[in-house]
Amino acid sequence: MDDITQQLELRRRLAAWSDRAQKSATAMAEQYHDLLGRKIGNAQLSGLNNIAQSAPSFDDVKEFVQHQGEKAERAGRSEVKEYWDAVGKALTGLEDEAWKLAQEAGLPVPPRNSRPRELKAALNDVYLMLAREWVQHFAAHSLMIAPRREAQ
Amino acid sequence: MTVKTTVEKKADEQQQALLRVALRAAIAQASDKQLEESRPRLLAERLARTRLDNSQVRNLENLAYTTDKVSDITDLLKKQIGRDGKAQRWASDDVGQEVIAALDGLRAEADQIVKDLSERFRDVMDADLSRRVHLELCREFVKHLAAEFMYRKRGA
Repeated sequence: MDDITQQLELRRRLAAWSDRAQKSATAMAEQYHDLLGRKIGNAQLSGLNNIAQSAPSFDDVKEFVQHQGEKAERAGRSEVKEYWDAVGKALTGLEDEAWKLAQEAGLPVPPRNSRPRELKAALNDVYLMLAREWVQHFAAHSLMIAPRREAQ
Repeated sequence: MTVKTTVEKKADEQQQALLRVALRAAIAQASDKQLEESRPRLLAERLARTRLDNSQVRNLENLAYTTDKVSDITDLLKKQIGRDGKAQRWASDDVGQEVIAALDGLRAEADQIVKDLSERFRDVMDADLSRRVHLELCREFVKHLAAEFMYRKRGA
């Protein structure tokens, strides 16, 4: 398979993956419905989405999420810490999905049991693509179900 | 892995072309049915009574025709609903959520279209076909919605 064919195949598989992943991202947003608008503001959700859409590396997205969790912990807001931990865990879960997707698309992929650094170097772009899709679904649904504020 | 002969490949190409024609006909039929059932018209009428303007509906239509994901269309609507703090546009009277539900509901119709064609074209169908037909049905729905909305909003 040549490069263009691989990229087209990856794009096609990513679109299918994203439409499937919307369900789980939506379910997770629903799970934390009570925190939205009260302890997790629209600005934080937009911040998460902006970082995911613009970050050059997957680690940057995970660091942002980790930082939000640490801030919440320092402020003694355990529910919010739990929220960001769950987001971080969901993002980490995308790594396996990215490996599978890249392999199915015919990209050169290191074996699954390779060192994390090696996997990251080869798959950072695919990790990011999946993170962008998942965060977009998660943030969009969270924004929709957050209690409305007149001032917005 | 089985290697296909030139004749078999040619037959597959022919079947794929026939499948594309059959899908186009089925989608056109489903699109006309959407109009007969009036769902996009009724939603557009309600949207036209809100403060939503043509540009926001055009944005939705443009996105529908350029994206390769149904979830991009519903995510845009969700974000617009979330930003409508005073509930004067997409969030007014839950109309945006009903548009999302209508778009989601088209998946069953897409599945049925693919199922109806599967006996004849099983060999050239892929697992993602139903999702792509769903996207086409969403495009048709949004097209009807946008046309009706702009018609209702004219001069407003």
